[in-house]
Amino acid sequence: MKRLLLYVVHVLLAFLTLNNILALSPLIDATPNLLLIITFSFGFIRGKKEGMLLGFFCGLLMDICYGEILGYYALIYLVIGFVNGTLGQLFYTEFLNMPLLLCILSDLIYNLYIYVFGFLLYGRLDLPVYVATVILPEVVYTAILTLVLYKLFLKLNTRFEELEKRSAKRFV
Amino acid sequence: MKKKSLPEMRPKHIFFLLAGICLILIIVSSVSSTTGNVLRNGVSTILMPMQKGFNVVGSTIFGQAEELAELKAVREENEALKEQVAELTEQNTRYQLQLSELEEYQALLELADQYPDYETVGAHIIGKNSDSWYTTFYVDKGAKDGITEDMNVIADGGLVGIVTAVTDTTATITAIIDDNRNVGAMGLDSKDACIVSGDLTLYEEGKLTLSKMEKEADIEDGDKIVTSNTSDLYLPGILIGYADSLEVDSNNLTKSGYLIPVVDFSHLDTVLIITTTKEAWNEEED
Repeated sequence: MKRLLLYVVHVLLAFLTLNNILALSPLIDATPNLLLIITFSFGFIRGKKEGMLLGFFCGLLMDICYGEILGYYALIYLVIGFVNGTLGQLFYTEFLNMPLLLCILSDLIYNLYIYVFGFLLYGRLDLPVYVATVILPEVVYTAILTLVLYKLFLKLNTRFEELEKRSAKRFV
Repeated sequence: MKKKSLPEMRPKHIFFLLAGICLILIIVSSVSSTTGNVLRNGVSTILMPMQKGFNVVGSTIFGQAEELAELKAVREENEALKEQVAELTEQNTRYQLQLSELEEYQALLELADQYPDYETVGAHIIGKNSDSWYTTFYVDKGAKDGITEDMNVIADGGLVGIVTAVTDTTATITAIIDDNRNVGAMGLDSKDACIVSGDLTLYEEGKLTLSKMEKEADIEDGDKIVTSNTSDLYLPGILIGYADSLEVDSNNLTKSGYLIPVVDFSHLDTVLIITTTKEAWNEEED
């Protein structure tokens, strides 16, 4: 229950900072994808199930507020949560380069998905231009932020796990 | 809570279940745009105060903090004036339009009524899609203020976009610069038809594409381009921007080029929503 609250607070904070402050500011051209960082970080740290559910709800939130079609963002965030959850079970979690690699991979998958379904299917063929103007700046920003946030999430998570264990012992 | 109620389900199954839900949502909501309304309403009721708050915090941070006390009053006034300026600029375009119309058909003076005074509602932009792929705005006026889908949105005297989703208290606006948004347009003076479409790769340079114009069309660089009568979604006579670098296409039948919008999409904070949709307007005309 407490964990659920933690997630809700995280997602809302990220969502609001992103869309209501950063995106509206004329000073910032490309915004890092905070929701993606949350999805893949917790997917990686906590496993498939949580990554997936978190991703699904992050995506749904985007769909509800900014999308015309519901489920468009939800689907890709869901896949990213799932993929990172699966990878999280295969790799050692405290090696920092791994999250960075996964972040870049996730962001690339995410952007390619939008490019293919939102642009390529409408006949927009010059992928290199989109890579240079949209994808690359976002990936770079997101990757830089991941370096900071992933460590923070990991710390939060370990502390939370300790708390959970303690309260579990108390019940016994 | 959901997590605890599904302890036995395997992750793979949950994945397919959720993916299935997504696919169903995509299919259903692309067929009928009202499907998600319950969901949208629920979420916007909870989130809207927070979004407003964050928006205020954001603009406070980015505004010059040291002069805040002084600025606040000025800003409020500015806000009101901006709305007024937008309204007046829009009016001005309309008058100009009427004037050219008048010159053209001096004998048929009654035709000046063709461009009615559109009624508008002012709204504040409180959020923007953070994804660089799309340009959609979130505003603080919704169904309760009389906003419905497909209403045209203007600012700075020019066309901003169209309302694509509405909840009780908020609305989502898709900008004309959004990729694949097409607007039926025409030259203000010549009335020659053309199409204005958004293109993400061009917007980086502050342009939209202008195409499907007949080779002989009397539109030159710098001419005003307005929405046309034939458009399904847009009311006629709203200024979009100015024609730029027009060239005859390789098929030697049509001309195309770029359009420089009048609206500065990166500095928008108030917009005016026209409370008549094209559909309603057409019915009224009949």
